[in-house]
This record gives sequence, C-alpha cells and structure tokens, in this order.
Amino acid sequence: MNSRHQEYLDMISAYLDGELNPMEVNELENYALEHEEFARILNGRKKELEQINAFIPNAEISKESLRQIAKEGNESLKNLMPRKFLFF
Amino acid sequence: MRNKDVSKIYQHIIPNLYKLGYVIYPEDLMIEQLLVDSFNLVLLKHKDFWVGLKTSSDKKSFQKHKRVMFEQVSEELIRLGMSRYHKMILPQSCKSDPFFELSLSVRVTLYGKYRLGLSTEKLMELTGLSKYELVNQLHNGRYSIRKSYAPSIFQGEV
Repeated sequence: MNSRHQEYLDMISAYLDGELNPMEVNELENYALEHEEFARILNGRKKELEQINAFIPNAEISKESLRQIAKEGNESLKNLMPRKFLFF
Repeated sequence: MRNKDVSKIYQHIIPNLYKLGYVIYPEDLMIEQLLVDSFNLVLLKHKDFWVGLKTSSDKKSFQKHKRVMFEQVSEELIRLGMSRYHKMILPQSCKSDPFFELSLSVRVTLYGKYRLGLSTEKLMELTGLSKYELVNQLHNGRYSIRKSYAPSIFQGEV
C-alpha cells in the first residue's frame, strides 16, 4: 500500500463528516473513480454511516405533547413580546 | 411580525425540536420543559429580530423563517440540555436501547452532526467541547453504535 493510498484512507472519516474542503472532496472522489479497491472501502463506510444514522432515534411527538408545547409557546409570546405586538 | 405569525412558525418546528429533545432526555415532561425554556430564551435573545421581521405570505420566506427559528431554538436546546441533564439518570424505559448507553455529549454530537448537519465549529460552540474531544466523540459514538447494533458491519475503525 503506498503512502498516497493511506493518505486517502485516512481522509475517509473527514470526508464522511463533511469536513473536507471542496478541492479535497474532488480529489478523494477522483481517486475513488480510479481505484476500485478504494471505492469499495469508501462505499462500505458510506453504507455503515447510513446504518448508524438509522439507529439514531427518530421520536414522534404525541398530539397531546404538541398541543401542550404550542400552548406554552403562546403563553411565552404573550409574556415576553412587546405589548404593541400582541395580536392574539 | 405579529405574535400569531411567530407562533405559527414555532408550531411547525415543534415535532423536529421534540426529536432533538428526545435524544437529550427521552421523557415527555422533560422534553416539554426543555422546549418551553429554550423557546423563552430565544424570545428574550432575539425579540427584536422577530418583532422586526415582516410577515410574508410567500412559502419561501416561511421556510426561511422556520429554518432560522429552528436553528435558534435547537441551539438553546442543546446548551440547556447539556448543562441540565448531563448528570441525570435516564428513565428505565430506554435502558435496553444501546443508543442511550452513550453519554449525553456523544448522543448530542451524533444527532447534531448526522441529523441536523451542524458543522464541527458549531458543535464545538454548542457543546463546549474542543475539536479533538468532538472528533473523538463522533468516532467513539459511531464505534459504539456499530458494535452494539451491527457487529457484522464492524470493521475496527475507531
């Protein structure tokens, strides 16, 4: 494995985290186009990330909670916004 | 902008704010309190901004205002959540969920990064973590989740 290949491997996490600048993104993606083995690793990591993302909870709010939070929000608006803007 | 217009925007973003609140502390009453306090802080801090905005009926402006308010409230939600709940024991109901075995800062970092698309700089500002700590949280979070949920896809990266 040459040092250039290792360099790109080390960049994968930053790439997936959106931390590379556009030029680096371009370089890495071009490298993947030219190197099948690297592209396979990159795609594997992308897939892993999608799976990880799917494991993060996606909680749905109940109607009751939604109503309660909205009601308290309206109370806050009444109490904290300037009087001349009260149009409720 | 009138109160009823601000209220309409807020109501539209509550379901997504709730998702973030759930990651911080998965219990309805706690999330409600966190949201109420965060919204109050936004009104106190950005009152002039919202009062000064013109109400517009066009869809694009509404979406833009929703995005701005979501950013403002979620920032307060993360700050408040991190300071308020970092030492609290989580409810029994989520004990079997490996996601909640992660520390609060790892959960918030993962959510901020992968669901909200926040930049590292923004996450550093909101969580009070250094760049090194934040990168570690992200890597450790990914590692733990992969290990807990899908050992078959685990490739040894930390």
